[in-house]
Amino acid sequence: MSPRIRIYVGAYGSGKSEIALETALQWAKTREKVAIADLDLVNPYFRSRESLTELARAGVELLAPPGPLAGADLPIIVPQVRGAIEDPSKHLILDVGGDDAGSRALGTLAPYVEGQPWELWMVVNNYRPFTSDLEGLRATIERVEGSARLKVTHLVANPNLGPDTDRDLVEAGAARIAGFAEALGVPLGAVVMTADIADQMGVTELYGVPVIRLSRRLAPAWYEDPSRLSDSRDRRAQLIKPPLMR
Amino acid sequence: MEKLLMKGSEAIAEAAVRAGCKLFFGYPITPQNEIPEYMSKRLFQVGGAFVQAESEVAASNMIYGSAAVGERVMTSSSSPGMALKQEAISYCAGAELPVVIVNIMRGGPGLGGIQPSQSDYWQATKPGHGDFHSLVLAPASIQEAVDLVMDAFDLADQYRNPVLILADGLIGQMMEPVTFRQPTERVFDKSWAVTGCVDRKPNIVNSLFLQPQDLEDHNHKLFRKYAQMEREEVRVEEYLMDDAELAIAAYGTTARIARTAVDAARTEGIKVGLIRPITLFPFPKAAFERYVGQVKVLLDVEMSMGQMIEDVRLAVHDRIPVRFYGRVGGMVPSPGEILDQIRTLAQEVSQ
Repeated sequence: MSPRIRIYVGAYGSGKSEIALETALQWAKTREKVAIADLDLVNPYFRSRESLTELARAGVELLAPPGPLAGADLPIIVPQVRGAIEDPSKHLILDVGGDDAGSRALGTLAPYVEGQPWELWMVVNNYRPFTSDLEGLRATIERVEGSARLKVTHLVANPNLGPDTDRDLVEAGAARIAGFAEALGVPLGAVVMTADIADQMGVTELYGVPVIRLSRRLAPAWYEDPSRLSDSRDRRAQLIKPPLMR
Repeated sequence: MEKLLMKGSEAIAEAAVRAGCKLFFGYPITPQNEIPEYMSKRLFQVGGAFVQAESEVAASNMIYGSAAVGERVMTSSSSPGMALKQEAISYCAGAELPVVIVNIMRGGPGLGGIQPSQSDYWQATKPGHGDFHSLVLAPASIQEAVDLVMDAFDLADQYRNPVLILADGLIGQMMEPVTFRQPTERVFDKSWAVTGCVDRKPNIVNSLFLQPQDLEDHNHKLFRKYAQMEREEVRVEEYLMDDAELAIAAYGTTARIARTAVDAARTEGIKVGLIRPITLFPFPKAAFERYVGQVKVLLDVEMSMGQMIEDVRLAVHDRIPVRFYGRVGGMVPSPGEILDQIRTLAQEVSQ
């Protein structure tokens, strides 16, 4: 069993919250006293605190600002987070905000984390602007480690283009991120993909690490493929004469 | 073209850079902070400059100054911050300065909340003091936001007028794949800019006209530009309107939710379509007017208490009844809620 504290960091929008939620729900099946701490102080929408009901149903404790404060853009870390870090009976997932700005919240907790069994997993999507090549990733890791005051122990490959993701894209991305891991000397912890692509590929492991099957929990219910919207650049052509200045 | 997965705010900022925006002045406010943050890292890579101003008022006067010297410039904010920018936007319109402004809307009034909203339609389309219009573009996806931002810089230069990108918080915060096209090669005359007068008469960039006749003439000149925008720049998307007896009017994210509801209603045999204004000024009046006689009821759906509905009603002049459904305060309507509204109207129409 991996150490009882798993921390997810990464660049903005790399998929940390979705993966943290999935991990919490998986851990809840085999471990006692699982908790997830929402440390996202930088992102106003799509935070793990939005999955309160599903987490409660699975018996996962959510450590996040309570009540109306959950909807605020205030830098709140609830005191229960430090309690859970220091409680050896708790299995704790820390969902940290993006980039070095988001990791600053983790930096304030680093002194308490250091004495405990922990791993720091850096989520990487090579289809995001600043982590598409090795140099960009190296710079991002340095910035994140600087403000987190902890070293990255694993990379998590989360290659995706949102609704445009397909099997080829995942395979190519996972290979690329596995290459980054080797070049950086940081082991790969997991490869993430949606359940349907994992089924298409017929894999539960890739590059010697487990595949995390993801369902997008934080996407809105109405969400649909944006390619169905027509291209606004062609719109002028089909205009009929608008009436003028009546 | 390489596809990237980007958050709306980042994509808007990158699109501006690729359109040649060299200067950005802003002040933080949720949910658009990623725009200034991105610009603060990115602009120096292209030889530009980023300034976090001391206030929204200051930032919008800085874009006035930058546009006056002929640079491509942008600022961004969210609803309450936009109210503070209005004075200088009117000055930009009066002085005929090409500026691009982004408003990522949140709920109000007052301090309101940080969740998505469309309650700045009035503020955007019937803006600040004096007689003027900004050209207002309302994207419904991250890709469309990218394309419209790139167009916005050309439109601003072409008309020498403020162009506003009006998006709800979801467009700012959502992530979608995008590609960036090459910017157009259009060259715009900027001989009016204050660039240091060597071998020419001094240029003056100003919105002050103390003689009433001069100011009236100037107003008429501005309104000839708005008339040209109404003739040439209207953009609208129509969806399943050919045989529609019911039609939804919605823009931005709400239009995408409405489309999901339209698809569901179609499977139940309800003849419903969608008209999505992309330009909010100039408003696509004709796209509504042409369905007089065909569409029996229009349903206007917004994340507000009903603002665009006024323009929809003016477009059809009471010849089609216009109903309203809206959610506010950061509540986002679900496809199911809109579908229920469509079902009720379908029943009314069939009776």
